[in-house]
Amino acid sequence: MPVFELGYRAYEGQLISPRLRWWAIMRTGIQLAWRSKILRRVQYLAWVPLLYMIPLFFGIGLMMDPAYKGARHPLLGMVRELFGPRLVNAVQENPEAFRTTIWLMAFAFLAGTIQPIITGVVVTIIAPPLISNDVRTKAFLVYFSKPISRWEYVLGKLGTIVFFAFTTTLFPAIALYVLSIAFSPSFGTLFDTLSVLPKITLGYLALTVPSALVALFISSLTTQARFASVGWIVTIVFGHAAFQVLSNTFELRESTFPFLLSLFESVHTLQLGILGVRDVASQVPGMLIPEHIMDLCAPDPRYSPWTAFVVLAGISALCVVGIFKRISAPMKI
Amino acid sequence: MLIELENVSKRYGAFQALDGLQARIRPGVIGLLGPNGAGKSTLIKVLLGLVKLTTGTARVLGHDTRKETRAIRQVVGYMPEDDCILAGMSAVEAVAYAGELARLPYLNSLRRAHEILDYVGVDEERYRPVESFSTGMRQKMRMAQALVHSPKLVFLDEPTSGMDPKGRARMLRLVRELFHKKGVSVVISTHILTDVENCCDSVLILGRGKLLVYDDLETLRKPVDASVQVTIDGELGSFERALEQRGLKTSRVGPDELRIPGDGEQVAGAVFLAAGECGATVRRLARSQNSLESIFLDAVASTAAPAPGAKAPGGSPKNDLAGRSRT
Repeated sequence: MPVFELGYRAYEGQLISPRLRWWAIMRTGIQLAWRSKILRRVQYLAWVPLLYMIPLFFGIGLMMDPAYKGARHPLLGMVRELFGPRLVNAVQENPEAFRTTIWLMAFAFLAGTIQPIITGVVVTIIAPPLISNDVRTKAFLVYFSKPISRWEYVLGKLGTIVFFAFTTTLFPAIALYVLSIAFSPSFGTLFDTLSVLPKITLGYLALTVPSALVALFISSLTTQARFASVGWIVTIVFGHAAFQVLSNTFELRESTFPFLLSLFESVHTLQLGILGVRDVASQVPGMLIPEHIMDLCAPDPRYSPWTAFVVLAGISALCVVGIFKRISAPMKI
Repeated sequence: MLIELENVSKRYGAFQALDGLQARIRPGVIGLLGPNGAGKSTLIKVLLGLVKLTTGTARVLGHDTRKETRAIRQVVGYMPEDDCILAGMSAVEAVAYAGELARLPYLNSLRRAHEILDYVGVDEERYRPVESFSTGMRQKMRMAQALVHSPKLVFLDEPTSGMDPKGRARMLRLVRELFHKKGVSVVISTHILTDVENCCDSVLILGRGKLLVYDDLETLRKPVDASVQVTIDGELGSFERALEQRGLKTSRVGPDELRIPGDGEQVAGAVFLAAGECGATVRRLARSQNSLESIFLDAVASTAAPAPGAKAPGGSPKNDLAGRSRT
């Protein structure tokens, strides 16, 4: 027993804004998820690609610096290897005109290669227990006996995933952007590339939000987090495998249908649509994007970003409805 | 008024969970009783705004349950019967989290969680993960979660189930104290009638979704007719005959116990004379009181569907309390 007991007293302190009710759910979710050693390691690993990307952006900086025109430098060699000598020569002739396109290409390269895999791993670690644990222990009654709505509950859970997904994708990208601006030859670089930051932010939202909602919906379907993990992995891996197989069959070679099976393809297409490398490049006279870069930076012509947007919006809406139904069901018993 | 129910009905498909409840419930410690499936949990969920009413209006502390659910949940606490564990948290984190969900700032919520855990009697265990808690500890933690945001009314669903006698006594003391010292009204839904007898001021009994009884416990326990109960050592049959010869009617309520209608002082003389006459010893003589058990059983029996050809259920006439509601 305590030596001194205060007893029960009514709380007379301040209350936080009603608009921030979801914040407590998100903050606590982050706090609990951060206790996972695996998640912490994945978070550190997510920054490893910057070891390649930082020198690449320095190389791009050198490429756009007239003083390095025709110079032999290991970082310039790296840039030449990635973008091809013809494009590098064209950029060196008129660096300001090409800057935004080149930067968007570099960010599309970052966002389209290793980062979706890291996001997938992060979501696999965080999302499965988020709702399934509440289903198992009927913890909804703790949430919904307090002034919390279903929207705020889902927003708080979604915020937890989005935060960790952003720390492995958007935050490294922003760090890269800030570093590149800081070490760019002129202050004008900031104004030339001002449109890049909102584009990459929107691009990563397009990657994170639908993925997180799908994972949360799967989590709400079961009381066991491990089943939710398996469900999420199967959805992603088998969906993408089905896309790979079907898109190469003769009958479906020109069809949009196989793309609809792969969440990754829809997300990636929308991301590339938002970055809009091809649209920006088409406005630059003399812009010749090498084919291997175009494959990485531009959406597949069979699947338009708008279709991907509609598909992802539909999937997200269905997931929200499904989650609402699952979390409301225990209340009615 | 604490709770106002006006023709409250709730239907799940073909099942009528609540059927035209009508009551005005005053502040205090209220026992919510009823057999399984009577609608107790549904009524609590309706009052919290967790399930929508089919018809009628319910108000909690003046707030409409249809339109002002958030306002209600801000001033009402709920201790669910189910485990409702927030996985991966310690007790202090779980209670602080419950406070944060009710809009308390993080640090205030943490400070408040410690105060409330002291109050309900969770000591150093508060730093242990809640999954490792015993049933009694979990009950205390849930009680703390219900109280952390300083509600004006608390719904407690089976608060003492699974607790040891000491923990149970402490929990009941807290419940009593909450209203009588702190002004927090409490609604206890339970099957343990002695808990209600020990700590409640009024009782609300539901059966098959209908309100059977709502009144102060003290009023309910007063028998409708004055009578006394006599316990004797000796032959009960000859004692009964001796009383009947003196013009007193009797009814057996136990193997050595009789109930005799009439005023205590008038009956007492006849009882001792009859006992002397038949060589019995009067062990106990007291004015009759309705036990909560008899009140409950009589009320619930009135809603049971009678078997074909069977007599209508019901106890002694003075215990016929079904439909008794003082609003």
